Amino acid sequence: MPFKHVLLTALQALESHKSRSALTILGIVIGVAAIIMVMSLGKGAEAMILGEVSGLGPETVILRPGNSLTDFTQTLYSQTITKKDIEALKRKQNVPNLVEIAPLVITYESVEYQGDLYRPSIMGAPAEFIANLFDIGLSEGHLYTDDDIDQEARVAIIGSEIKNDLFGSSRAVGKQVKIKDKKFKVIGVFEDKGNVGGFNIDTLVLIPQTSVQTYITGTDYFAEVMIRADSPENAEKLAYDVEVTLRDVHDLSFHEENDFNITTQEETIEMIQTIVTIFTSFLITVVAISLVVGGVGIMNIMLVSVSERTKEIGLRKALGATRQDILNQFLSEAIILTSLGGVIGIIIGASFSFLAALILSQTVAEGWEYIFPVGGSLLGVGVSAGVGLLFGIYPANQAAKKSPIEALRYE
Amino acid sequence: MNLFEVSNLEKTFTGGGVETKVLRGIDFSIEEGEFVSIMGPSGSGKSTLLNILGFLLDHSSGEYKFNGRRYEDHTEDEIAQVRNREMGFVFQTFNLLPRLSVFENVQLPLMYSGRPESEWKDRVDEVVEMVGLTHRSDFDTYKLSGGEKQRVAIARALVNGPNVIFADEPTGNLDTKSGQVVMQTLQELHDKFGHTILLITHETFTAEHADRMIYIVDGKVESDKKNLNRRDAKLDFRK
Ligand SMILES: Nc1ncnc2c1ncn2[C@@H]1O[C@H](COP(=O)(O)OP(=O)(O)OP(=O)(O)O)[C@@H](O)[C@H]1O
Ligand SMILES: [Mg+2]
Repeated sequence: MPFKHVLLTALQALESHKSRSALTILGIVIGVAAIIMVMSLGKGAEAMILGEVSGLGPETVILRPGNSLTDFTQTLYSQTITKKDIEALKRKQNVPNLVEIAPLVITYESVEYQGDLYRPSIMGAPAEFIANLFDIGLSEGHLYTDDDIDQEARVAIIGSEIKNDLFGSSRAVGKQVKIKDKKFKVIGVFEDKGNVGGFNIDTLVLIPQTSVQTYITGTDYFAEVMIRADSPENAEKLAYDVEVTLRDVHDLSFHEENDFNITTQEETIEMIQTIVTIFTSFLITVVAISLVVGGVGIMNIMLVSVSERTKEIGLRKALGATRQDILNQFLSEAIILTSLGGVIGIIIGASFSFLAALILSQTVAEGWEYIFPVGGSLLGVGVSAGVGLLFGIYPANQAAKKSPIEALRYE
Repeated sequence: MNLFEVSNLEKTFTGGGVETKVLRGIDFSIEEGEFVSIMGPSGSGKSTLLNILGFLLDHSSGEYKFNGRRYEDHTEDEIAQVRNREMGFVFQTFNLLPRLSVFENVQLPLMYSGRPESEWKDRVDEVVEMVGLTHRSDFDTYKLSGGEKQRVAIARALVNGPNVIFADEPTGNLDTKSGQVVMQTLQELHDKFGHTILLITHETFTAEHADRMIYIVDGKVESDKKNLNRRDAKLDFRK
């Protein structure tokens, strides 16, 4: 039988049972819609996280104490990166591609103003670097300079929430606050910004790192050092130079492990992509199971349909249809049905994820973008057609096996 | 040449642990171009015999040759092809697909024939005209009267230009007048176009439209004789 007529016959049969056909494919529709949503939202999340991370720029390398990238507590309590290391790294002959180095100190300490207390996170870091990195401006005052850092100036820039809490509506710039009984002069206030890259800017106090070490922590350790290479291509080389320099400064012999770790942005991006992929794959596996359930539903309905249409099958065979003709007819019905389910599922899934993206971007995740998963859609149609083929074979074969006269006698 | 050759043909149905012996040794041969009626009481095995002759059912023992070739020497696809190309069936209960139009029903055998699609339409129109239903061609068949339905079934049986037409009580569900139209058509197909026709009926009146009458009782041929006073459906009709 010509292929065109196989399809037409199948369509005719499906059309004569419209509501049954619709109910049959519901499982597939929902399954594929779920795949599309998971993929779309997964890609959206990935794009957003990457957008935030790569705010650092691909030429930036992060150096942290402790040899494990994943053991965060070890990183926190390791005290292996000191002023001496920074000085060594700053030397041109050690790390020739270094253009900027920003050592960070992070600690928690109370800030006092006229008896009122606030417990913010205190970050010691170059002001300009941080302002650029997180893309934050000031609502009043100005940033401190590299000279302030060299001179261990007792100046502070505070987040908007701290300002409101301690100063209310009056000006904060020019006032003195006390941290660990040392007086610091407020020289700037950050604009409202909320969470950026894991820091709540509104509850942050930014102070020159040298001043934090001298007056607050009393140590010369750093929690994190950001180092910028002269170009993204040189980031790997820079990381290597940093490693060699630090191993030398720390006097590590060749069999000792690093007591620090270095992450390039490329590695971070890869890590995030891996996490998102694992997560998405897991969800898709769950959804795939629902497609199998949908497939079993289709098989069930098709078996009913085959037994209902015993007479038609017998007649077609009596008129000269071969086993193959009958098999093709029922398989086409199954595949058309599930593929249609797939297409409807894609449309529904895409619409829902578009809506979700819209809501997300206007509420919790500014900058969330809608991504239509092209690959996922092709996969969705392919998988649903496959489900039709797989779960249609058994009923179609049952139909093809029928003997014509048994079928014609059937009442 | 003998189109059908049957010797010592037996058919036993087994089902639910019960064996039903339906055909108990049938012998006859039928030449190309004959018009034969098969008669007998209900349950005597007429339909079973016709279904075996029509490649719709296999026999239990004995031999059946169609066109000189043993039934069991055909592959499944060849069996389908013989049914499609060389045989046409007309059933008592019409067996049309009710949601398809007259045209589509008649077209069905062509779809399985392997003939080029370009020939289909002309062929369908031709046989639909032959049974006088051109004006009903686009009707869904469930809307037709019984007589019209049976004429659609005849057109469908003819569409591939088969040699043989099997008709199992084609007038059984029709009133006398519609039955006469069907019988007239069958006679015409035999007389004008030389089709071989095997007709089952339990009415002597209807059987007498054939040239040869085989009488079956209890799964055996009881008599097999020429009909010397063949009825002419056209004349019956005028009465
Ligand atoms: N598939 C089957 N399984 C068991 N018995 C069957 C089967 N098909 C037919 N029979 C039996 O075979 C016998 C002959 O049936 P058949 O249909 O050939 O009779 P018939 O001569 O055509 O009768 P009628 O004039 O009523 O149509 C009946 O007793 C019937 O019950
Ligand atoms: Mg019968």
